[in-house]
Amino acid sequence: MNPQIFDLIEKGLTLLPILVDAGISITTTIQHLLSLNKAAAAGGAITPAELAKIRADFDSDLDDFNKPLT
Amino acid sequence: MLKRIVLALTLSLSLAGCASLEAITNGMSLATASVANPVTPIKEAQIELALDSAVKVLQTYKQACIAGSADKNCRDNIGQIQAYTRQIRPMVLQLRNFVDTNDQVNAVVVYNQLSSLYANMKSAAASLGVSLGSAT
Repeated sequence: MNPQIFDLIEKGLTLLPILVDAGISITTTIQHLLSLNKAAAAGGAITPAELAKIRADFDSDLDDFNKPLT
Repeated sequence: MLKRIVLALTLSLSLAGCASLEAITNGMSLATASVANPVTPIKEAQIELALDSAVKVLQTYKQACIAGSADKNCRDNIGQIQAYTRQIRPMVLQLRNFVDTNDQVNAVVVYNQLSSLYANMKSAAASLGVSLGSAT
């Protein structure tokens, strides 16, 4: 067996719970995106309030991730 | 032998986890913008949500790293990914301004730069073992 497979298995073992958690954490965002895609395809628009909320949420998440690791 | 079977099963489950994440993100489509395909507020919202979902995945990875439950290279990996994510903020601010003022010439340029940056960030994350989904 290729020894690299063990590295892959180790990485898979480590990342599985992270991927599951990540899948849960982005579910709402993805659902929102899917509904926007439908609206866009139908020629719909977005309200200023909704756009402002999307901007604020993204700013908050990006700022959080960009902080240095302590 | 039993140990190998358990490891193989775990790998399969892990890959299934990746597949689920890919399925969740299948709705993303960051089509190239152009004068004929302008950056409307709803299009800006779509790219911001797509980027936000990727950042949420990265946040989860970072939290796991801080908690000590991620891989041993996670600190270096996060540092490498942050090199991309720190470029996003000024570009997003520019995009918002151009969309608000309906400056389509510049909005299209920045939108396409952001799409490209997202693709590069996704590739970098994938090479480090972190899946950011199937958005382009």
